[in-house]
Parts: sequence; structure tokens; C-alpha cells
Amino acid sequence: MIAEIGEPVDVSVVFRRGKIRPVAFEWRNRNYRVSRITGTHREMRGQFLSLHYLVMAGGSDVYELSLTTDGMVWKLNKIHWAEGEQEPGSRPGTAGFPVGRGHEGRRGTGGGTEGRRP
Amino acid sequence: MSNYARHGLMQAADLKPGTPERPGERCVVHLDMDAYFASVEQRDIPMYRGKPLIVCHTASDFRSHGIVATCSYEARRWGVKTGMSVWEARSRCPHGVYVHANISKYLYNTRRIVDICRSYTPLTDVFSIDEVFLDVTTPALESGGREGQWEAALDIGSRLKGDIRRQLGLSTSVGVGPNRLVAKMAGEFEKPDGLTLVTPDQLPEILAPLPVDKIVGIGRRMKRNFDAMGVQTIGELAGTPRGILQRRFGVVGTLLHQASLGVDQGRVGYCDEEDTVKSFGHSLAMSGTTDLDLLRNIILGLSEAVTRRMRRDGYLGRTVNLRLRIGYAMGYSRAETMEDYTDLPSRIHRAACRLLEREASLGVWPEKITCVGVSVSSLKPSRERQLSLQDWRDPREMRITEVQDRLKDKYGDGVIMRASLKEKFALSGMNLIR
Repeated sequence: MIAEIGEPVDVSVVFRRGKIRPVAFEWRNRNYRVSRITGTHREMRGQFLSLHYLVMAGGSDVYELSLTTDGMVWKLNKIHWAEGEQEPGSRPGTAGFPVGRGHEGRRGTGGGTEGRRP
Repeated sequence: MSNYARHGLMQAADLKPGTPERPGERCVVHLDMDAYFASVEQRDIPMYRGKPLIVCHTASDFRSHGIVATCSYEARRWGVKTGMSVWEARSRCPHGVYVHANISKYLYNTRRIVDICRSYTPLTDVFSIDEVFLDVTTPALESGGREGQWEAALDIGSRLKGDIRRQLGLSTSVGVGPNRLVAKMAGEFEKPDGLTLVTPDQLPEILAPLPVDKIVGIGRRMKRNFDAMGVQTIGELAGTPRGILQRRFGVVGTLLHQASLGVDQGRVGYCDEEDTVKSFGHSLAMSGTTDLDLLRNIILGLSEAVTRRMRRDGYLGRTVNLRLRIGYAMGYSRAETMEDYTDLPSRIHRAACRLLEREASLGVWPEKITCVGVSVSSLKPSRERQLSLQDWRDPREMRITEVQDRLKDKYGDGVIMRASLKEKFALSGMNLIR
């Protein structure tokens, strides 16, 4: 299943060897630690460059993040999640953990943010 | 191998400066990505792996119009094929995963694939979004000498596959042969993830038993012609006198006869004069309609898309071609040549609508229209533009189009569109990311 989101998100990134690597993002007051980047690509929209990242945050869901040089805005464009599961974001306590709750470990069953909060 | 084939190969070799002159010494590698779009999606989204994944070109949901751009091998087991309408694919594989094609993502991957290919040889031809030809004659000769050039070429093919798998996580099928035609056919022998070599010595025995439609360029219609002639295999085609083929198919007949002998005089890595642009076109598949207002609107979107590319590439055209597919089996086209060359959407739209209305008035459509295409040919460079009296008296459309182009150049193609296109279709700016 695919959910079209298109919402601005805050993303923490690491710049290494000329590349940008997202390590965590905050969406709807939850933090998601990036466990794996499954794909990247870039495209020009007019004069502006868009960088796209497909990331996993511990569970099986894949989040499509993008950064556009038009305003330097990060967005969560889409979420791909397995059929039969509830839409991410509406699941209580899965995948991410609420901002401001420290890093007391995994919340819920998604297991998306094991370990420390970035 | 016949003398004719030897002669053809020799000619092909002679054309390229600095390459060996003996026939059969060119080594061409053909690289074909396996289920390309679907493989990229399966790589990026792990939950799609092992599932029947169908990548579609459609502007809406996956229930009505649109076509299958490609599908994973799991979906092919259910009878889904590239080019099939989405509704037919859904009827064959209702439990499949249907996703929209993301052309910019595939183009990005293609550019990286081409970069990898160019690390082996600068003589590369990008044949399509998922196919590349490489002339590896020089590196193969350098590493294998005359005796071992084919093994060296096969080794290059194998390393190329490994590099693409390691760097991009994608699987490829590679064919190696003495020219583009044979290399491409060799690549078809083993799919997916194949690596096949066909040397000039093996050509006659390998080609002869293959069905005639294995030759690139022979489709259903030409196959029917060959059926009528009693020609079923490539061997039988090779045995058909060239004169007969020439009389029946014209110039194409000679090329087909050469192809049946494994001869292809095309060169890799050289842009021929024939490669210059001859037309610009766009088409849209849909579920089926006879609503003329809707068709006019679609044609407007297609005209916008076609003329935007013409202006970007610096061409004017004056022959407008309208292609209609009726139902899912019959298709035909009609053309109109205008007095003036143009790159303005309204002129192309008006001409295409005249053709549409003429066809509609005949009342010969037995079924609904399932695909509409607009193309413009008879091109000339836009620097040779002659301002028509109409444009001189009322240059508003030219000015508006120019402003629109500047906006699209800066902010992307979706930034401005006609209101009539916004509601129903995502047509304005479609498929322009090239």
C-alpha cells in the first residue's frame, strides 16, 4: 500500500564524502531513526535540484523523503507499507517514538526506533 | 558463413577507423536490464521483492486507463506483459502490486549504468532507457589478442554485469556478438541474468532454426507477411532470394535479408545522420471513450506536451499526425500538412481536432477510442522561422508561450498549465523529463 503524504518534515543528516545521508526525521511529533537507505535518486525540476531518499526506520515500511533546493525544504512524500497493516502515522506507538520522551527504548511493536534518539 | 555475410561484416569493420579489417573481429556487447522499472522498485522497496509487481503509466488510479510499462518476473507468470492495458493486467493478476512509473528515478539509474559502461569503452550507444550497446573490440583485443578476443569480450560482459549488480543492485542480461544485431539476439537467449556469446562461426547454425520474428524490427504485421510467403524461420528467410524481398518490402527487404545472415552494418558509438530527429509525438491510453469534448481536451494536453519539446529542442513542424486506437485491436492514423511551420500548441491542436472531427463524422468507429496520439513531423530548425502574417498581427500566443516556457524552465513543468487540463488530466508537462 502507498500513502501519499507530501508534508514537510525535519530531517537530521550527516554530510560525508560529498554525500548527504539522512539519519533521522520527525514526522507528526514522532521521531524516526533511519535504519537503512534502500534507494536514492536526483532530478531537476526547472532550475531546482531534488534529492530523493527511500529509507526504512526499523520496520518494513519505506519512507520517501525528498530535499529540494527550492527553499531547502525536506518533505515526506510517500510511505509504502505492507498490505494488511494500519497506515503508518495512525498506528499508535509503532515505528517512531514521540518527541520529548527521551530514548527509553522501543515503543509499540514496530521496533522502528530501537536504541537512542538521534 | 556465406560470402555475402562475410562481405557485410567486412564492410562494417571497414567503416570504423582504427578497428581491425578482418570480418568477425568487432566485439559488440549488448546490455539489457531485466524487468528494469520493476527491478528498480523492488530494489528500493524491499517489501515488493518476490511479489508480482506491475509498473504502470497512468494518470489516475489503476482501475481504468493506462498501460503496463513493465512488470516483475513474478507478474509475468500470471500472463502480465509490457504494453498490456492496466485493466487487462488486473484481470489476470488481481493480487499484484500496482505502482506508478517514476521515470525520473529510472533515468537517474540509466545515467549511472551508462557511466559504468563508459568506464569500459567510450564507444557506447544508449539504445533505450534500459539497453546499451558497447563496442569492446579494442579492450578485448588488448587483453585477449586475436585468438582470445571473444573470451576477453565475454569477460568484459561478465565484469560489466558484476559492476552494475554491485553498484546499483540491478540484474542485467548481456549478449556478446560481432555486431549490434547478433549481440542483441544473443542477449535474448538467456534471461534474466544471462550472459551469452555468439561468435561469427556459430552464426548460421544458431540463427537458422530461430523463428523469423526474433529479428529486431519484425513485428506482428511483418510476421503475417512472412507467414503468407511461407517463411517461418530465419534460415528460410536467408534462403529467400534478395530480389523477392526487395520487391515485397522495398529497401527494408534488403536489410531483412542481411539481418537473416547476421549482418548489421550499424556502428556503435557514432551518431549517424539518420539519427536526427524526424518527429515529436505523445500519446495517451485510456479506458475507452467517444466523447469528442474529452478527446479534444486530451489532444490539447498532448499538443502542449509535443510543442513544449519542439520548442525546447529548437524545431518547427507542419505535418500533424493524429493516431487513434479503436478498441484494443485496431489503430490507424490521419495526417494534415499545414501551410506554415509552427511550434505553438493551438495550431497543432486545431489541426488535430480537424482530423478528429472528420473521422468522427464518418461514423466508422465500431468501438470506443482507447488511445490517442499526436505527433508533428516535417520539421525544420526554429532558427529558420518565418513570422506569419497572423503571428505578426497578433503575437499574444507566442509571447504567452515564451513566458510559460521560462516559468517551466525555472520551476519545472507542472508549475503552470491550462485550467481545462488541470481538473481532469495530469497532461500538462507529461513525460517531459527527458
